[in-house]
Parts: sequence; structure tokens; C-alpha cells
Amino acid sequence: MLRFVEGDCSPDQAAAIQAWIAADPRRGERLDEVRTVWRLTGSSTRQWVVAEARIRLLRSRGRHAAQGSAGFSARP
Amino acid sequence: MLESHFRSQLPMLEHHVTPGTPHSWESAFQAYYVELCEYVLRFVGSAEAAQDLVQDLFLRLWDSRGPRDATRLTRPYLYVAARNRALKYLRHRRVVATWIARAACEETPPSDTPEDLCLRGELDDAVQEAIAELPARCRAVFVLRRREQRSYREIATRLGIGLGTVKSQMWRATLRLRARLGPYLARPVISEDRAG
Repeated sequence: MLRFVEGDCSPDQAAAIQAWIAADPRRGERLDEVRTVWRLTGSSTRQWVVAEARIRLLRSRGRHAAQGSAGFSARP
Repeated sequence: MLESHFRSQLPMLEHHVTPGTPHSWESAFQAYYVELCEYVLRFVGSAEAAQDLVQDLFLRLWDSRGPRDATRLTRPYLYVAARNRALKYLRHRRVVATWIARAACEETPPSDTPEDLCLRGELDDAVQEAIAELPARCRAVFVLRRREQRSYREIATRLGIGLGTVKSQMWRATLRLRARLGPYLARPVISEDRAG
């Protein structure tokens, strides 16, 4: 469950844990408690590297711009 | 400085910049990227997937930039958009319906009010005390992980213990803190309804 809270799972592993948690409400309660402990003891769940994310995003943006991909929407 | 660095690397972007928009777009990314990743992580449980979803959201916003950006680059809009993308992702991956229903109840964490900050400040003492009361090894593992953001492998090397021991000590610390901080877990300022 800690790996799940911290996000250290592959998407497939996460799906398996989601099914496991969803199978028993008590596990969901435990998940909420663990998340709250995490929230209380640190500013974020994990270290998100914003600078790297910016570089990835700007590169993707450049590719999109080059491809003239104007057909996407971002409706919430 | 970073922006000029990126522009020098990607001069082609200059041709697609709408005056006024990049600054807002960049500001929104800088301001909300981390908290959106944190929020989406609660749905998907995978940092890799959360980052991809948030990146995709900003990319789509860039693609469709225009006069509505004043609305779209705001915290409420970004949260709703991120939530919808996360739920769509879960459905696409055929995650069990019970989890999706649970995730759909996740509320958007509100911005901190002065009262929240004050209450959180009060909690800090209790949290520090609870951490200080952990057994020595347990505390060392927990602090290295949560405060110094070390990987489990780094912690194992640094403390000269096995990887399995690090993980079990981390879980042990979590359970002890949960028990010790139990009275605070239900307080509105830190409840799951309000926490992000």
C-alpha cells in the first residue's frame, strides 16, 4: 500500500492494488489514514521534478506545434 | 532565465507563441504542476501515469490556447480537467468500477485559508513529537524517506540494513504514526476531504 500511496507502481501494479483495495472497504479506510499520515509528515507525497517535466513538456509542445496539431480540445 | 534557455533550445516555438499567453501558461504550469500531480496520483496510484496525465493536460491547453485561457489556466478549471482525465484514464484501463466510484468522490482540495495554515501550524508540534517518539531505526528510516526524499535503496545503504528491513520499518513507522496521530486524522483541516 505504501508503494501505491507514494506512486511507486507501474500502471498495471496500480490497477491490481486498486482492485485489492476496492474489494474491502476497510482497506480503503486504511488507505485514507496512510495518506493522511503522509500529508501530515511532508509537503508532498514524493519528489516531483518540475524542471524535468518542463523540458519534456516543452519538447512535446514543440513537436505538436511542428505537426500543426490544432484539433485538440481541453474541455474539463 | 529558464524560459530563455528553453527558447534557445527550441527556437521553432517562437513562431507559435501568442503574445501574453506563454507567460500565463508557464505560470500556470509552474504554480500547479506539483499539486495536480499529487491530486491525480490519488486516482491512479502511479507517479508515471500521473505525470503523463498532467503533462497531457497542459499540452492540450497549449494546443487550444486562446481567449479562454483566462478561465482555463485557473486552479478550479485545471483541477476539474485533471480529475476528468484521471477518471477517463481509469475507465480506459478498465480499472474495477468500485475504485472508479471511490475516486470519483475525491474532492478538489481547497486553497489554504489563514485558519487552515494556523491549524496546520498547531499540528506540526504534535507531528514532530510523534516522529521523535518512534524507535530509533524506525525514525531514521522514516525521516530519510519523508524529509530527505531518499530512495529505499539509498536508505538501506546509508543505514547498512537490508532493503526489506527499510520497507518494513517504513510501514511500522506509518502504523505507529497513524495510531499516535489518530485524534488528528478526523480534523477537518487534514481530513481526506480537504487534503490533497
